[in-house]
Amino acid sequence: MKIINQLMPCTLGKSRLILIWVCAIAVSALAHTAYAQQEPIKPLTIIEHDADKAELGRRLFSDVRLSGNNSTSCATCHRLDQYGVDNQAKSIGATGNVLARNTPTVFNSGGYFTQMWDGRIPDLETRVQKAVVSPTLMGMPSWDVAVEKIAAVDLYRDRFQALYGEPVSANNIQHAIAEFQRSLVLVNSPFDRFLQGDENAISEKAKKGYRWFKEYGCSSCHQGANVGGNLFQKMGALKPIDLKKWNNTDVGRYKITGKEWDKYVFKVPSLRLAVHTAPYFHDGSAKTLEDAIKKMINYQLDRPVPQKHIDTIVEFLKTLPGELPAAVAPPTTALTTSTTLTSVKGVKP
Amino acid sequence: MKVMIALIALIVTGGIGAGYIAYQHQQQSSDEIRNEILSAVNNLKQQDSTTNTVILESRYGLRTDYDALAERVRDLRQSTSAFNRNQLAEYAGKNADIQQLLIALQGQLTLKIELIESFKSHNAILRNSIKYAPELGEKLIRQARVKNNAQAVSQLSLVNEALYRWALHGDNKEASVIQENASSLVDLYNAVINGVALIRYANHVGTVVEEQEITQGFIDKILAIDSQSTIAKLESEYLEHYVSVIKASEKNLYFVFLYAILVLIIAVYLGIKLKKSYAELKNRDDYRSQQISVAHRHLNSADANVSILKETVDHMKETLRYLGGISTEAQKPQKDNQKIRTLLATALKRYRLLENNRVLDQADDVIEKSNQNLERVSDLVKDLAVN
Repeated sequence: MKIINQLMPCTLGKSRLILIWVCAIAVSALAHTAYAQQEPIKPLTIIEHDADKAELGRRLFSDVRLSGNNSTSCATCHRLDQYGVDNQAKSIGATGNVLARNTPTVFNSGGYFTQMWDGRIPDLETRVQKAVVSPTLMGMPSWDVAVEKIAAVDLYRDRFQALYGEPVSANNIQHAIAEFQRSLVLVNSPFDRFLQGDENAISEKAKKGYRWFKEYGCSSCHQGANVGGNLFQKMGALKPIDLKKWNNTDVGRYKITGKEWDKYVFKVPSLRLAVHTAPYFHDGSAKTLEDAIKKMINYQLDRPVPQKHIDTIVEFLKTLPGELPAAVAPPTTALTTSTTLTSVKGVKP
Repeated sequence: MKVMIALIALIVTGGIGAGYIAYQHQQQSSDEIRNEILSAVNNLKQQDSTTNTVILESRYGLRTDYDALAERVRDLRQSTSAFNRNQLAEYAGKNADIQQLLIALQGQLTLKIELIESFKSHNAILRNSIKYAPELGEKLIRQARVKNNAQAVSQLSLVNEALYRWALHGDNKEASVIQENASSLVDLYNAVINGVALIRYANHVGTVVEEQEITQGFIDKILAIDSQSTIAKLESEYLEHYVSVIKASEKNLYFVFLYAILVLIIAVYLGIKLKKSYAELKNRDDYRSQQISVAHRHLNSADANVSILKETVDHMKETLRYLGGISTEAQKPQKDNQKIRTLLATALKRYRLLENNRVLDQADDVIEKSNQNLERVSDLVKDLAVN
């Protein structure tokens, strides 16, 4: 109070001064909130899910029984110890074939507006449903065989009965795995803490990088809680991409919709885990983050960008990953099977 | 009997009561379905309307991310599929108008979602170019000034100012100015220091004009989709259908009540009839019991007379046997007179006994009485058979 009296030796009463102070703090808090609301990126929040079903889904996610030849699980390409990717330009499917597109991360994927690079799948359940019986991905002959294989495992049989109140079925396998994926939200990143008012959560260089990220217009597409994953965009929006140079004939969404404007249109990927999920783009053609940033600013924004700006943007991108959820730890309880895998119909030994 | 009538009345009343409860239950579940459908309709109406608002907010930069729009689209998809899953789809199977409206709505919403996705992509490009182009234009104007190229300064300023004004109020006149001058911008390649930047500027200005047209086109198409009106029609069509179903149900209830009352009247009438028949039957039964009792008495009386006659005949037989013995003895060559006398005395004694009893004198009378009694019994039996 002495300081206040010295600084403001006016006729205002002390209580009024305190009131003004409180008001000033409230106004600044409101201003910060308003600022945060205007920011193109929003903090990630946990997606509602059933923890027990997610735990069951975690086991299934890593179970090779869901592939036709018992060689591949979801986690083979979406490695949980590598931020949900295998860091390959294109992954290898259950039958040894090279997949058509780069494997995106499963982390935070519950918040995407659609699934797959071309957005042809609306939700995670359908994603699982398609992936398991896809001849190029997991190569399961049919969902009936998948159900039979999973139901042959005592633990699964018991858990499904206990959690779903019904025997193992295609629907509840898909739901459990989807629930697990919905649990994979990496919250409380340094950048989210910064957005929530913690000025010291990220470095000055990262703050500068964020400003450049907005300034160059990256945030026009890479925005929202997932810093992407909520719209489609044409590869080569401002400058047509050199298909020969890119050695790429993938026409993107056009293959699904047949509409001219969907040619070379892909889902804008989330940048939340970009620093951990190289290589980049639908074809995995950008090996480094710097390369990807340079190409994007060139083709999508038609702007020149100096290396120092790229460096700051990379610094900013490093602040985006949140904390790994506990659910990604490897399974601890051993599974027991009441039948051998080879005794199940349609399963190759 | 009373118990039976009460039972019939109870069953009929119970039946009516159960019918009414069933009707009430049906009415209640029908109300629940109606509420569920109306709630789904209202949800969809609200989501559709909110989606339009969010699109406009995104268009005019009031929203800096597409999460809200993506969320709205997800809600629209979910509501539409919930719409198809709920009872309305069942109604659609029975009502061609509802079915047609549902198909139309599905088509409208699918198109709307497609257009929204395309709008988002183009709007993102537009936002960038509209932000970057004027900034780059200012740099190029400065470069043209450095090079003292007044014509370039003027042309670039014209385009850039039109760009500012157009960005501020979206007047199509400004768009025309930009469009007219954008194509000739490349001619100023040597009029600025950085010719590549000028090409880039021309590209961004062209993008602004093109994307503005495209995004506006998407907005116009999205807003032209009259899904609100289809939803409203669907709601009113459904309500009309619902009211007609309820009216039919009420009419049925009225008939059920009438039928129940009729059944009750018939039951009461039958009950009364049954009661009368029972009383009549009871009277007949009493009469028969009485007649049987009388017949029984007559039969007993006839039986007594027959016994007397039988006894008399036995005496006569005995007497005649003695007389037969006398006759046999009298015909023998060496007659035992003493024995004859004894037999004669005994026969005489028996005859006197018969005479004293005067049974023989009364025999006709006894037989007559027995005949009368038997005739009465015969009449009673005949009467019982008739009744």
